[in-house]
Amino acid sequence: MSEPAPPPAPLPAQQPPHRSAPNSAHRSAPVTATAVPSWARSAGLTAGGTAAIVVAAAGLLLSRIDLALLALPLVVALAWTWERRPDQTEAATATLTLAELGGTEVDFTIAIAAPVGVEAIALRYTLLAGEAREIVVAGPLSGDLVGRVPLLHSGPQELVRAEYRFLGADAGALSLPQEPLVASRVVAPPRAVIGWLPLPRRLQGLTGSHESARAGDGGDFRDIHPFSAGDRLRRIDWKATARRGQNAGDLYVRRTAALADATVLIVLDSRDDVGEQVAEWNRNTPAAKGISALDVAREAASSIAAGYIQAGDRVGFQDLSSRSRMIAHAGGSRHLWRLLRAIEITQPSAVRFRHQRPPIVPPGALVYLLSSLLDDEAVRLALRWRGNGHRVIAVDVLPAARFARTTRYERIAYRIVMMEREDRIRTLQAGGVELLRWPEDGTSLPRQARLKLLSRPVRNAGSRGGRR
Amino acid sequence: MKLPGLVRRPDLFAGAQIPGVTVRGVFTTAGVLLSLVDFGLTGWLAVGIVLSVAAAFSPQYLLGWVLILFLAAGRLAHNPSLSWQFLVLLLGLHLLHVLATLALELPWRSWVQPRVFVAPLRRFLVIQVPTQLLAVLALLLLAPSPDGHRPLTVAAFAVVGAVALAGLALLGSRLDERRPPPA
Repeated sequence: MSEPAPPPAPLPAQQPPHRSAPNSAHRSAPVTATAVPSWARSAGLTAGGTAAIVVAAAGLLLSRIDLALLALPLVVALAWTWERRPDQTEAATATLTLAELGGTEVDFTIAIAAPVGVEAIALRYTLLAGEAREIVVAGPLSGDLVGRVPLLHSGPQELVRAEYRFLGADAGALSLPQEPLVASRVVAPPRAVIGWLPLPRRLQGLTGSHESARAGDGGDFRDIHPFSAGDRLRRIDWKATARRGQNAGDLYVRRTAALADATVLIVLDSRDDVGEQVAEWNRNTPAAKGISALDVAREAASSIAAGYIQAGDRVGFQDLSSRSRMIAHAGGSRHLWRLLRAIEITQPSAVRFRHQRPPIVPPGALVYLLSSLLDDEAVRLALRWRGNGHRVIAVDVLPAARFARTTRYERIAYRIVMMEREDRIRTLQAGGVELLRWPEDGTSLPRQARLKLLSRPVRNAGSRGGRR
Repeated sequence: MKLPGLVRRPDLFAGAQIPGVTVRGVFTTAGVLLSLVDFGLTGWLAVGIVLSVAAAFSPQYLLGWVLILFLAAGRLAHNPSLSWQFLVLLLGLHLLHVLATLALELPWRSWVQPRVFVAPLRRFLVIQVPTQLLAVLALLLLAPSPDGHRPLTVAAFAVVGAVALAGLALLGSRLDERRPPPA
């Protein structure tokens, strides 16, 4: 199994020619755009000029000096506006900078150096890909525009998008909208400490921290067994030999369990990302949807990966929404950082992707399938893996629903979706897939208790659950 | 999950405190008042009100300048003499032009920094003060009285016209000097 490099950090969607974007999403490198604006004349200038000419002509034709005087301020105002139009050859520079506060908010600063003659800047900005807001500020900017955006979700996200255009004197000249400035960031998910680690049915590694069913070194007492070739002499249990020996040559040894590591595959179903606010399931606005299924999934995947890696096990990662986001199983702290990076950049794919064949699972691996279980694809894969003999734990990451601002029809639709989801869960459990609900919503046992239950030794199985 | 809740609305601290729709509101008010001054309580007032409201809320149809023409046409019902109504109309039509241009380009859902209006207001005053003085002077000297008598003769018109042309030429040459040479 090859190990593809983790996908690069996502960059802003639109990259204008003269733009420098941050290489790393964690750094606060400014996003800068420099361009010569394209200017247009406002329709108001043409309309005002036409009105002034008509009024003045009427005054002339009708010998009405009052009409001619009414046209006078319009003519002067138009001439002034035309004279004060901005320099059309001068470039404008805009800079968007993010500054981390170290908490759950990020400060951003927008600085715009406008060409000479610009009297106002119409700025349209969007925070967290939400509703666009527009402000008009006097230009050129004497000070920077400062804002603050909360970090509501983990994973890659567009924090700030700003578009702007310049207005000349009396809005008589205006520039076409400039290329948007986009500041994105990848937010690491929080990690929970896992006290109990469920293990695969069979441990196949030769070293590690878990007791396997194999006889070997390192583990606790396993059994008393007749001496055979290869047994060490110091393992001979003389008391047992005296007690059990039938003949003079009978020897019995004390055998201990071998230690082994586990192989774990974390499969993250990132094909959908619904939030706790049911009313937002259609719009899926990051600022309003609340904690989302992918937030929970990233937290769960990070916690599971860290728990197993720190216990000396090997962990692989597979993202269901992408063929390329796969990391082969390995161990060690460097591998843990690779896993965490792959998990935190996971996001839904725009292209619906159906697996013709399920992703390859290492022999004897424990499969964690993290999914909201809102469609049949995850269930199909889990049952396939279970049928191949793997232990599969489906981690339910759908957050507890909230029904603020929902309509009656939305609540009915939610109930139908949930009934179908319950059917899928029953199908999974009937097929031997174990279920672990990750969000702590008070509807079932605490997460640690559920993990402890899953870590109990399984009868006729080749391994025991382990406590870290 | 330790992610924060949704209690705080994100925003940009830019000191933009005036709703953009205020410009349209002021335009509507100015249009209605000018219609009242120009036409009085007649049926034309209703037309002025409709035009004011329509121009304010659909500035892209350029109805603001139709309103300016409509109000200017209303002067035809009056004698071309000096009156406070004329001076108000002289000020109001200029104001309508400035507000209509701003309403055309300011998004109605936007918020505007108060400083945005400083430069247009300063230009408005700089244009209006001499224009009002000139209008008073011109109407006193050139407007015919109700009996048809004109204070100045045709020869005086020629002198005034020549002075106006000279002033215009002087203004044009100064503006041309200030313009930077082409690159």
